[in-house]
Amino acid sequence: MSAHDDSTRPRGGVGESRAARWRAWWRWRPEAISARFVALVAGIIFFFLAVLTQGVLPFIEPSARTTEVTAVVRTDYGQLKWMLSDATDYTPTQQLGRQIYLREGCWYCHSQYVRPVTGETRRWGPVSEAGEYAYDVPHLFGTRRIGPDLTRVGLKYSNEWHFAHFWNPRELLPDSIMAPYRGLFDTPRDPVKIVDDGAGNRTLENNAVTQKLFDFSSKVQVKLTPNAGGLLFVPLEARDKAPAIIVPNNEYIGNTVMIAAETKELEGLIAYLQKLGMNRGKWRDVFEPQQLEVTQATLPRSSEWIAYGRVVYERRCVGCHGAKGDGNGPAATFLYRQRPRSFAAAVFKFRLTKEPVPTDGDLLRTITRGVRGTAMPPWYELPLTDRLAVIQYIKYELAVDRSDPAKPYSFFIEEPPGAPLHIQRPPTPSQQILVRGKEVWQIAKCWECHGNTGRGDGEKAAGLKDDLGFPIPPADLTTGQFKSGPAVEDIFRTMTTGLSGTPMPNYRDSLPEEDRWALAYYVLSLSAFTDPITGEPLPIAPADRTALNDPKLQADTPDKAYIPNGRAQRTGGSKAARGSPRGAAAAKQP
Amino acid sequence: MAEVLPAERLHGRFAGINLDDLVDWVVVRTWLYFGMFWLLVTPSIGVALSSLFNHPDYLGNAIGLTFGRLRPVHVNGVIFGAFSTLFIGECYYLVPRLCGVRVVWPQLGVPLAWLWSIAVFAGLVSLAFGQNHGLEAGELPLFAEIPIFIVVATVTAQFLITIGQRLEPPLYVALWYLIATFIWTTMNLVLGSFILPYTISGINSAAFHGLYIHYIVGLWLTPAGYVLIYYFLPVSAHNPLFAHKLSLVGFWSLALFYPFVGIHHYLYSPIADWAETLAIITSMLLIIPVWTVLVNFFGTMTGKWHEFGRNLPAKFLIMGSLMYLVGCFQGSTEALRSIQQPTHFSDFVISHSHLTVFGTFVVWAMGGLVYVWPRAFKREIWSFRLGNWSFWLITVGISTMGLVLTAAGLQQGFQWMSGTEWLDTVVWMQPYWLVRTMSGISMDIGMSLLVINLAMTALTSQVVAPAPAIEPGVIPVGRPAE
Repeated sequence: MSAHDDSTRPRGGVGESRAARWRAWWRWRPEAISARFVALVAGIIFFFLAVLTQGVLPFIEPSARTTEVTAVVRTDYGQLKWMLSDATDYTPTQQLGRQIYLREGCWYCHSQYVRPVTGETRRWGPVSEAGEYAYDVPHLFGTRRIGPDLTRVGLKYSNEWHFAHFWNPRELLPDSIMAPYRGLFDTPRDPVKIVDDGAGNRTLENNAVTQKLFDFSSKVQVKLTPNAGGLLFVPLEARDKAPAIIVPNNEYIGNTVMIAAETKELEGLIAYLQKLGMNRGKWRDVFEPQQLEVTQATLPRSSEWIAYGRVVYERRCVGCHGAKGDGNGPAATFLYRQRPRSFAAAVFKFRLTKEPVPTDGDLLRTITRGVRGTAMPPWYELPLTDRLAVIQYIKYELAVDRSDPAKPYSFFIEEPPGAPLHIQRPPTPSQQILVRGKEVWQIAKCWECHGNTGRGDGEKAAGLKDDLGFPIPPADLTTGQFKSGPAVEDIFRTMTTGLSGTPMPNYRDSLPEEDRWALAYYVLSLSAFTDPITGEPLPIAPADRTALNDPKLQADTPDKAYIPNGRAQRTGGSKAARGSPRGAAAAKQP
Repeated sequence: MAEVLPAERLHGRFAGINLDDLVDWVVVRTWLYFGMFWLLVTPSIGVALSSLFNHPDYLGNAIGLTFGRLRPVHVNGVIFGAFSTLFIGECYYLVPRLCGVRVVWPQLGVPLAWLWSIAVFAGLVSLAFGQNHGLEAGELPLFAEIPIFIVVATVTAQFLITIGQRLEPPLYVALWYLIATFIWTTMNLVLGSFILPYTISGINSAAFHGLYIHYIVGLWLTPAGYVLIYYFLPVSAHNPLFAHKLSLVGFWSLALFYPFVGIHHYLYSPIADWAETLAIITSMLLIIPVWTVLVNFFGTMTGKWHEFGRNLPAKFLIMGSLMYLVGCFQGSTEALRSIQQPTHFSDFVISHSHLTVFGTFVVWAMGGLVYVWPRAFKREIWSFRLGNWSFWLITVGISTMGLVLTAAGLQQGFQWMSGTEWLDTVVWMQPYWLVRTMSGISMDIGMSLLVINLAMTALTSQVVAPAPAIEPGVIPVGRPAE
């Protein structure tokens, strides 16, 4: 092209031949390039050529502008299946949180896409899809992982865990290098006195500071516990409640507390984090690394393993469970809805054994999976030996009654666990089983605590306490966040053994096995086709629900996702580009 | 510098011109003063931040002093403060000398320098107070972006008009790059400042942002750095440019390939695979311009290596070229999918960005600064010995940082791939991060000594004959115009 540009080629005669022109082109010298040529060709044409091919053309592809994602839903029969659905926009609270995330530069250290690269899908979850980002302006992909990727962080940790973590990451995880975000808390400068409310209860003094945080005239109380250092966390939900300071086991013995209160910004930021990855539905319930079924696995009881377990404990557990294992770590005040477990009494919720103590396998299952909906995160990333070693430390050093220093009583030595329960193969779910399950729900009075719809709002819900005197809310069964696990066997286990230390009884003797299975399936059906954050029903047509309910429908991976009726037409051209596997799955619908 | 070249040795239409008379020294000095201020401040913020990796609580609990708030101050400060201010200042020196005419609108130079630095300062301070657009290298708030855009656009117009009035029609290589740099960046700032934060969503936001961020490094820092070294290396080495044909290959391959590479920041993301592949191919093709310009630079030193030890500007320029060789080899290879698996997201990328942005472009700008500054005061540099200390402290610092972060990045990247628990990999990084901070301190001391040296050059009174130093072989490379 340059040969035809008058200003760039060497000047020749008027009537030069074609050959002469070519020779002139070959003799073309760098110093003959004009400024205009550089400006137009390099400066403008090449620039816009690149913007066109690398920016505009990818933009034009329909798959780049879609809201379509694959998501996991729970069917009425408790199965978990992938289906095509649409990503949803952020709520105003989540959008506020996104602004905070952006403002604080969280994205410099935390990326937001899971690559199909070795390790990432086992560390974080399914590979990212374009539709997940449909509502992101600007994108927050990030370029560095000083901290972990956050694409799949939603509901991995509870809100309470995030409170503690933002306050001081190193309280939870001493090796963390994340900045403390105390600036996101409301921290009144002066200490607040703990006073008697006249009815024998301890409350906070009513002054200008606390009036902003509580409603002292309310009949409803919010029960809070300071940590041993006198720090008291106050959640936003306390605004319309009266404070009650409870220290049933002398968690704090001082007379004043320093307050760290949740702010709207912090609420939004955590709401945003919980939303991340949730466009993929209940994917975590089919996330293999977090699934572990084990009845027995153990390391030999040796001082070396116990010593190593202590190292693990002090790097991972000490913030909540405390150095002494009494559940009164410095982060415990943030965990106001559900206190961290005290190991001292050797009471453990999740067992396959009869009470009191669990096997190492039970503890390993809990540590690996975490306790969904609580501040106990899953530890599947931790090496297996670390997990088993910390169990040794908990069993032989922390689960010891030292009230008589001369004669410490080690529960796991004096009362070793019995044989684990063997869970049979579950019956095939059916409409009849669900009907029976609902009858059992009524007969066993599950609704007294969990509420008629399973929202955890039953008439007895408010007053429930655990074995240490702390309030414990009954589970909301509609979100599908089950403490002990998302499979029907997990629910069955909980029915059978109960949850020690909580008001949840065992039904091993009072309900026959078939009824426990029926009830387990019914409990799972309460979170069928619901949103994992809100528990609200998803917009899925009845015909699609019927098709998804079919046990024969295989939709166990994203590429086999079920395609709702009418969806192929709606998304038009992009369907053909995605290839046949999903189409094949759809064709198999009965 | 004592060498004095008679004006008569300039031939063609430059004959009889004293090039020193063409330079607006006040403008050059003002820009360079600000440049030295940024050179002192913004890299130091990086050093302060790097200590957070080993001692995460040492800056206290103030939210304005968290890593997330201060990282963009460091990055934007080095790009728009330290490098860009020095670069524009040095352009005010070299453009009139290459064109044989004064820069047009001379009264604008100083106000532009103030506007630029005040805008950058206000923008950086506001970052610490929580203004952030959420786009890497495009974080600055609108009240800083508008003046920055105005200054770049005005300087672009100034230089383009000046170049249009040049005495000799042939353009020296440095001017090709200068024309392209300013046009690209004026357009790119529109994309990054006024479009990206507000409109495009989702993965398209990422694709366009990939373009923007790489236009900042590829179409601003890189060609701007070339402007400086193509000018200052021949004049400081007293040697003509090695090969003009090579510079032709270098320029056009850079101009063609560099605009395409942006999406290599987001490989394996949901962005279309073909667009990612195109970015990878062009990233690899960038080896062509990089190696051709480097051959040119080292070739230009041919026959002058015996003077190299005493030639401070050339030492900076050649050291920067070595860093460029290493940094760009990293850059091209880490764009490959297989190499990106372990290296992306790790300190390998940080090693690459420091070797190129600091090790190359800021170092080249410092080379130009060391060359121009004494001439702006018609003096010798205050202390060559101190300047040499600066050079070695910076060289040892950036070399160590490049090595240690490459090693750290590879280790952590492979640990991630092998499934090592996250915090365990963080613990393994601690020694590397400590060495990184040390290397940063070394660079920081070197730069501080350099600024002290140059300040003393300006402040101490020396008696030197006002001798314009004009070197052959640079300006009228072609034949005299007809």
